[in-house]
Amino acid sequence: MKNFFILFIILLSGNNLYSETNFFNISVSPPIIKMKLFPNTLKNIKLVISNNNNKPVELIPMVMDLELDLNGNPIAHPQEKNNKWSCADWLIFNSNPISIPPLENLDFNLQVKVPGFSQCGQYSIIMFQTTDLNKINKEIEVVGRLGTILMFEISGRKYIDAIIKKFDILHFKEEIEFTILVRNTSNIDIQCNGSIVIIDNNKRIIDRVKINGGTGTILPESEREYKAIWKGKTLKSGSYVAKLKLYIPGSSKVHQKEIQLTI
Amino acid sequence: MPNIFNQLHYVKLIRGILFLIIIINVKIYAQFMSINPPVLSLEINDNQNFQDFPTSVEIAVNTNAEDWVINCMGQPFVSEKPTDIIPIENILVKHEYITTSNDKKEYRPLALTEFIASGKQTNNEYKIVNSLLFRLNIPNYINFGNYICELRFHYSDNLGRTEEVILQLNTNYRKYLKIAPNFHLLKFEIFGSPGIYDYKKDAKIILHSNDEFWTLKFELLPIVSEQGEIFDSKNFLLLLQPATNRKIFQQNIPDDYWHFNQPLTIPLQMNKMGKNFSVEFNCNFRIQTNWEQRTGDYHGALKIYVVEQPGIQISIPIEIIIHKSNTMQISANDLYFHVKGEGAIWDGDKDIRLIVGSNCESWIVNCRATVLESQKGYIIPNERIYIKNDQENYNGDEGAGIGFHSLIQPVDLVKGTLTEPREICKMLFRLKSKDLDRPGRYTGKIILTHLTVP
Repeated sequence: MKNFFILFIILLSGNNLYSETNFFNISVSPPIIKMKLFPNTLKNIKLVISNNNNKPVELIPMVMDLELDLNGNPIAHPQEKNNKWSCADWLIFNSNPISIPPLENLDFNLQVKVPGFSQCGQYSIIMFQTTDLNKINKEIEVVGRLGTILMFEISGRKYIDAIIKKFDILHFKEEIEFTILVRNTSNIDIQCNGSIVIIDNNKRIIDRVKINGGTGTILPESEREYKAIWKGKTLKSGSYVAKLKLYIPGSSKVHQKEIQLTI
Repeated sequence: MPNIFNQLHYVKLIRGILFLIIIINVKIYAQFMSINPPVLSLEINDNQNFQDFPTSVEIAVNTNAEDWVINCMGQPFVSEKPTDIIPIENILVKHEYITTSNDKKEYRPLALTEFIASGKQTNNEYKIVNSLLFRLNIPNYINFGNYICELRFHYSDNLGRTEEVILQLNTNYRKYLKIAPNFHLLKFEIFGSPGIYDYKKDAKIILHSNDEFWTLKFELLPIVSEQGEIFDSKNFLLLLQPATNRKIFQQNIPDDYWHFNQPLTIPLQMNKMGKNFSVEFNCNFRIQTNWEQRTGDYHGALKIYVVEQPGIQISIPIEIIIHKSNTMQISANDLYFHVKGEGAIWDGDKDIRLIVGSNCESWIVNCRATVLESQKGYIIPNERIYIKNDQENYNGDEGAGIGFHSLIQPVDLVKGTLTEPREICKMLFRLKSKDLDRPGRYTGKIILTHLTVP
């Protein structure tokens, strides 16, 4: 009997049958706010939450820390103490659950109280999480979260720099994949772009490969991996030099690194 | 001798010419009366009862006569058509020698012979003797066109000298139309899901005219964002409605919203209001946005003008601010695993469909799971909850079958760009139970997070 037990996860919800009904249909606008703020000021921000469904919805507003993964995708983390890049503590809002009647919009007012001293770049997410109006304790509750990413630049001393931590190649059959790992050493988010120049033995430029990275955003003290693919007619046997040139808007410095490769 | 004779002849000729010049100069100098300006023009641009000529007319006299007098004789205004006349009594005048009982100077109709001034010698210098202001009393019925009137100012003195100077009064009675909107900026600020957004403020246009029939045209100038994106003109709409119940339109106009992919032309029949015509209508402006419309600040203008006189026009600035927006729908808010017996892999009771819309350049939806916890505090870690995205071509097996990802860490479900709300994927869930798992009711959360990629 030890091995024969029943792990019974029962559904108590009234919505226990599969339904095509959408359980919520909400919009958050705007989902990102980039703004320059000044120390010792108070800024009012309006967000609009729409309930596009024909039944009411209840949402729990919460503040979370923002992280970008190596691909630049946002990840929301519970608020950490002593996160010097988080502006979560500056945000003043009513954290009570908000109810929105069917097909209505709600203005969500947010105040940002900027202290006298802080890092230049400050980031957070105001997240709106769906909750069950019926308050039935479900086994596994499927919740939706939509958020507004806050990216503030606090007026003051700003320095922009980055280092290329890695510049590698992966040789596939018909293409060469370059991997570039960049660390943002600035005190604000940066957006990298650039290209890789392919130079042959005769020191002739035979191709130029653009770095793919979407917006290319890297938060301060974070890393980002970019990819670039070299393929096509110029890819032939031989020895080459791949010269990486990386540009960061706001900085006059061009970050360079090169690598030898033989195909 | 003949040369001397010829020289004398030339001298006489030159003397004669000089004499004539002197005579002419004396005659010029002998002009007694000056009228400034000699021509006075009035543009009639509305149907007010009275219209003032823009400047006064100064009458100056330079004479050595001991006794002189100036009178003015008027004529009616006549136009190119002999039948179109503005009678002389409609010309009103105000000057030094018109006073009422209150000693106030007021306008009164020009007399057939109007006394202007009289006096004595002016010591060889011009002296202003009167200043006249003219006003026109617009008749009830008057045809459009140019009208001219000549006023003859007659000088005579005790020395028997006379002089006549003509003052020409011109008036141009033209059709006019005044376009008076009560709004000076059409501003739309769009938060939330794209859709139909009405201009919420009161927007009226009032037209005043001296003519009944006009053709009004509404033309939308390009609405462009700072990034050069164009707001499609067919998504800017207008519904015109008369503010009163009176008939204002000559012809049928669309009774529904007009899309400005082409200008809107309205033939108007205005309402008579005394001597004038007017009409007032409500403007219901609306814009339509969609998920493919790029966000940003758009600027443009609505030009309203009169077809008959394109110079009569106004331009209303338009500002449209479209904020970014993300939307998400899911087909279920709960999930159930009915787990019986020994450790195995169990399917969730339903698949969950995800519908996402966004007008952001780049967005992502990820999924994470909390641990499942029983009332007695037993735990099923989230690494044993699995998800499969039916739109993903993933052949890995992380412990619950091919294509299923463990939710030990968040799984990126889908990344996208501008899209209207559509079903992005269908999610299938699995739970892996172990023999040692304790029976009970476990609860937890599956969290779907939709964020913009910054």
